Amino acid sequence: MTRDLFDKKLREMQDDVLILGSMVEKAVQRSMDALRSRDSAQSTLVIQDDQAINAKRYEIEEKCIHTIALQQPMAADLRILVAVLFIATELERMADHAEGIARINLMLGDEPLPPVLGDIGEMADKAGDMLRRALTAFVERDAGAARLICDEDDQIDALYDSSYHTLIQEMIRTPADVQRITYLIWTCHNLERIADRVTNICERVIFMVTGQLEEINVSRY
Amino acid sequence: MRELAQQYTIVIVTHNMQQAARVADYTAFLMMRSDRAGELVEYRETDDIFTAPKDKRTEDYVTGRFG
Repeated sequence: MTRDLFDKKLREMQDDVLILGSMVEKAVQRSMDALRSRDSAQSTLVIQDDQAINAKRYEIEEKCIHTIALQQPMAADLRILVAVLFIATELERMADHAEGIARINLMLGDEPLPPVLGDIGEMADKAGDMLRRALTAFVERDAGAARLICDEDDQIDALYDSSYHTLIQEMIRTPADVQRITYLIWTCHNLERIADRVTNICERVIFMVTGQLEEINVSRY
Repeated sequence: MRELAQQYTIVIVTHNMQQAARVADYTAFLMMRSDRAGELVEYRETDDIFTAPKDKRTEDYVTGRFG
C-alpha cells in the first residue's frame, strides 16, 4: 500500500498554510505601513482583504477534515494535519488583529499620529520576523527553532511594557491627546497578541515534530 | 469486549488497526523479519502507538506506508 496521493495532499496543505501565512504577514505589514503613513485607502484594503484570508482558512480546514475522514491518518501524519488545523486558525486570528490595526487608522480620521509612538515600530518588525521564522520552522520541521522563537515573546512583552508606560506618561503630559494615544495602546495590544499567536504556532510545530503538547511561553498579557 | 475486559485480560491479534486503536489499552506491533517471525518492534500505550510511535517501522506501518 503506497500513500502517494496522501503525501501529495499533505504537501498541498503545507503549501496552503504558507500561502495563508504570507497573506497574513502582508496584512500585518500593510496595516502598520498604513498607520505610519496615515493612508486610509490602504487600511480599507487590509479590511477588505481579510475576507480572502478567512476564505483561505476555511478552505484549509475543509481539506483537513476531508483528508482525516478519507485517509484516516495516524501518528506523524495525524499530527501534521492537527497542526495545520490549529496553525490556520491562529493565522486567521492574526489577520483579525491586522484588521484591528487598520480600523484604528480609520478611527484616527484626519488627525495626525501623536508625536510619541513608544516602541510600536520595533514591535511590528519583531512580530513580523517571528511569524516568518515560525513558518520556516513549520516547513523545516524544526522544533528547536520553534522553541527559540517562543522565548522571544518575552522581548515583545518588554516592548509592550515600555510602550505602554511611555504612552501613559504622554497622556498625562498631553491630556488633549488621550484618545489618539489610546488608539496607539490598542495597536500595541494587537501586535502583542500577534506575537502570542506566533508562539501558539510554534507550540504546534513542536507537537507536530515531537508528539509533545506543551505550553512553552506564557505571555504576561 | 470492553465489558469483558473489566474482568479478563484480552489479547487480540489483528491487522485491523482501527479495531486495535478503538479497543486496546496497550498495543504491541510485531513484524516478520527475513530470519525471524514475530519480532516485537514496539509495545506501548495505544494512544502513543497511534499518535507518536517511537520506532520508524511502527510509524511507517500505522501511517500506511507499508502493510
